[in-house]
Amino acid sequence: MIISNRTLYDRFLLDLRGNLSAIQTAQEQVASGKRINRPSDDPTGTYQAMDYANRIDRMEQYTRNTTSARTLLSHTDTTLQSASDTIARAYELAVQYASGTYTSIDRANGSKEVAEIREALAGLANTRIGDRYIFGGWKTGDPPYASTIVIEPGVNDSIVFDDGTAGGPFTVTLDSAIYTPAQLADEIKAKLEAANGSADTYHVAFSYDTNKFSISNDTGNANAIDLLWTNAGSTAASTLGFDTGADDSVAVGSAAGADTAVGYTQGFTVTSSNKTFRVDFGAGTQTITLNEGAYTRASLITEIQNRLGPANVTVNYDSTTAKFSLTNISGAPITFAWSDPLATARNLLGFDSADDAVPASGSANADSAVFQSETYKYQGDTSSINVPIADGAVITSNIPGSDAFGTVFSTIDKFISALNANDTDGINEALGNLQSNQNSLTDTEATAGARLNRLDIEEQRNEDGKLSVQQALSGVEDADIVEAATTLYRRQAAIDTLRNASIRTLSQSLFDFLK
Amino acid sequence: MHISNLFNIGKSGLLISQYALNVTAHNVANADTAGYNRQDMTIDTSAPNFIGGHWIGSGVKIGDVARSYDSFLQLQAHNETARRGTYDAMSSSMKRVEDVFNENVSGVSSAMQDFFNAWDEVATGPEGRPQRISLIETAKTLSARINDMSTRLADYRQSINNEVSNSVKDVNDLIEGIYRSNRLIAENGPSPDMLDQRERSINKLSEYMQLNRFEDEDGLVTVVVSGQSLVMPQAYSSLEVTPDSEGMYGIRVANTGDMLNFDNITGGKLKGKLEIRDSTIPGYMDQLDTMAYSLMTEVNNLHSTGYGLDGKTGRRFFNQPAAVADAAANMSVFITGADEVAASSTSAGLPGDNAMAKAISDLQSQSLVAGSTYADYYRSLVSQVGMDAAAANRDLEATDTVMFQLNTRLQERSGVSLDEEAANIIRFQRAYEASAKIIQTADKLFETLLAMQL
Repeated sequence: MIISNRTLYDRFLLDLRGNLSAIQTAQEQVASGKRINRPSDDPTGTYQAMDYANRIDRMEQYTRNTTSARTLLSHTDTTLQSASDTIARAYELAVQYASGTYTSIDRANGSKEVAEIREALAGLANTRIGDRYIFGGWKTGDPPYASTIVIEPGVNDSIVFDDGTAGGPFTVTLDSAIYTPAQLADEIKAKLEAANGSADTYHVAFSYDTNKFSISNDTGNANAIDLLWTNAGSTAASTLGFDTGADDSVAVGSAAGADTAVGYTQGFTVTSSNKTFRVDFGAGTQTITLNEGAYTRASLITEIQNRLGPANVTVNYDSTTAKFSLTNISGAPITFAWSDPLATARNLLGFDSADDAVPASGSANADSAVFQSETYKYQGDTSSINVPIADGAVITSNIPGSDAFGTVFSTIDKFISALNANDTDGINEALGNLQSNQNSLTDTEATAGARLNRLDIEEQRNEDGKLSVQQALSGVEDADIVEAATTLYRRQAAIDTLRNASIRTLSQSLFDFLK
Repeated sequence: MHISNLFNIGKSGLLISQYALNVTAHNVANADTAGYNRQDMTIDTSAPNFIGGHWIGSGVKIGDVARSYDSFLQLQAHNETARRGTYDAMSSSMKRVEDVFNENVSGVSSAMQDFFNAWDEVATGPEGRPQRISLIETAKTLSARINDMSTRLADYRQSINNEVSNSVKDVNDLIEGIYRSNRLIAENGPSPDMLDQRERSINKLSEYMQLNRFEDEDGLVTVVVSGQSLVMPQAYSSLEVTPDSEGMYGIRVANTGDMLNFDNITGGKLKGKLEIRDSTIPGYMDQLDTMAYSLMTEVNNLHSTGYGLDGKTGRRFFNQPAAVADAAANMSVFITGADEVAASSTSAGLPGDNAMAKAISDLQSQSLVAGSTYADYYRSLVSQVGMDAAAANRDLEATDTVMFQLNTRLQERSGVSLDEEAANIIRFQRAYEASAKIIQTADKLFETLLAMQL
């Protein structure tokens, strides 16, 4: 067997290379602090490290989601507390004015403070964070409690405008309905665009800050338009806040803003608690009920006439006194049994609890004025905004205003009516209703509080989980610096020894000893 | 019996010692030459003279100068060289491929998590434009990273293809070299150095591809690869490359046009490169395409049923890829404006309806691609690349060890030990001195004879 010089040399190289590559690996680990610097260093570890890194990212996102949900819920919580305090003040006033020692003037003055309370409560119900109304359910873009505008047929439903094209000027007729300002803006836009047969488009905007409409003639349109508010046919002008003394010319690319804020007009809401008549047409007292729903004044009149019988009764509304009257056209006496506790429709129409016996061709006039059914009507929905806060877990970050505030605005509206009418029964009724409104508000506040607690727990769990995943990640990924440094030292020493040995074995042969 | 015979014997001894020193010097000079086989000179006695009824020796002559060579070990070395070539090509290629998948470089895994997190951000604030714009940006980043990964794999595949073409040029040089050596051996006889040179070329060729070699009785070799004779005693065949529809080169024998079937070739650098080019990289790209296609399709399916802030529905989020193939390379975001992000599941619920954003975010925890979540599928792919790279490295290290042992055995048989050669020098120097002494003695005998005063 021959040990050739080449074999010795190769062996030296192999050993040297092995040590150098171990040093390189250790050096890389020390420099990067990582045990895994490429997938092949540890394929399984690579998988785990990526998994852990993603999980940490995910948990950080959960923390951000939690923070965002907490902002919403704690805002909800404090707003509901304020609302509760506000209702408590209304309750105190109800207690105060329910006692018999006050005059009708005292009560009428008191109604002004209650009206202020209503505004304060509306402000709370329309709380927003940034652009987001927190009590609107999913409908966070518009105030959830908005006054409405009622478009009545033949009263305030038409706009006359001219764009200079054949067939003009055009009269557009809005559908009669109860609108929120935003809905009305959409209706005006749709009707304007449909009226003149051109392809021109318009935008109608409503600002909840100024309570004013504006109508714009879009860039790219063919014609300027004249909004003919002075025309007697423009019955909608004052409802929309445009001055009837001047027309507005709107050039292409510009807009006409309303002169004044809109005057909110309210519709009527028929519910199970105000829909029932007790009427005697001569054949005994019978029960007649209206369909529940939202009505304009005109549609409510039609509904009542249809239910009582178009041949029996005509319904009128005097817009100056704001009072209803029922005229008997049946040719026989009719008795409205308002004293019957079932006859709740008296609240809807403003009759007191005395029966009205109406002779043929006679009329029953309402005792009190009926202004509005509800000043602030809920425009939102009841949807939940769910936010993921842990794997497979969500939290509902909102409370719909309808859950929290319930019927409080209609309670206060009735309270104000009762104060104005010096109606202690009505005030006592308001007292009871305010109490139950207060209770349901407190319940939802407790819900918000409970969710905030759950957020704290989940966040803590999340943080704990993140810590343990971070430790696991570090266990998989981080280099053992001490071990790497030791390897470095050990391999360096091995290389030194190898070099020393090789100087002896490689550099010497028998030739060195031949003289 | 003649004194001059003594001179002749001494002279033959001197010459033989010189020859032997020449051979030794040749060995020493080539001690580090790769593929050099130690040469040994055998020494025979010259034909004896029959003198006085006895056979008297007449000195020494050269028996043979031959390589110390083991054809069986050499054959093993060729095979092992071919195997090492495969793993060498695969290991160095996989180093570059795994760089593409290194999360520090590609960032696909974190970009994907960012993408889903951005949907969560939209879900917590569906009214906000900043969240939506940031979502579109993260989607673009994710697309760009996946595009980039796909492009880099395709580019690298192309560069391996070019290497294949260049390798074929080297292979042709070697084929021609082996043929030339064959011709020189045929014309001048099998000199050890010529045989060594041919062996080196054959070994070099087996580094590119596994081959079979046959030697005829004249010592001329035939080299056969995958049933095709590339070198014959009288002729040789060059190889050439021919591109397929994708521009990927196949290898064929130039004069017959027969394709070399690499399924029948078990080793060599070319084998390794073709494996990476035709199987490994396309496999990874397929998986990337599958993931990108599924992700885009699932997100689009949900997104197109949702509503944007502008109230419109039916919009896709990503540009819907036509097929799985090339989905990763063509991944791109369709929508451009914040309003177009369909975070809402209903038109009526705008703008606070976050149900669609949440549903899309929930895709991250569903097993939508080959029974895995997207993140899991991608992690498995990276882990697979890592395992393939690690396996190639391990195979290379293992063949390196085998090669070292084989080389040690080859060296034991054929290597040059300087100590041994130095000892030989002393031996032959002493023999030379002794032969010189014989001549001196013979001279003295003559002198004695001539000094006789008869």
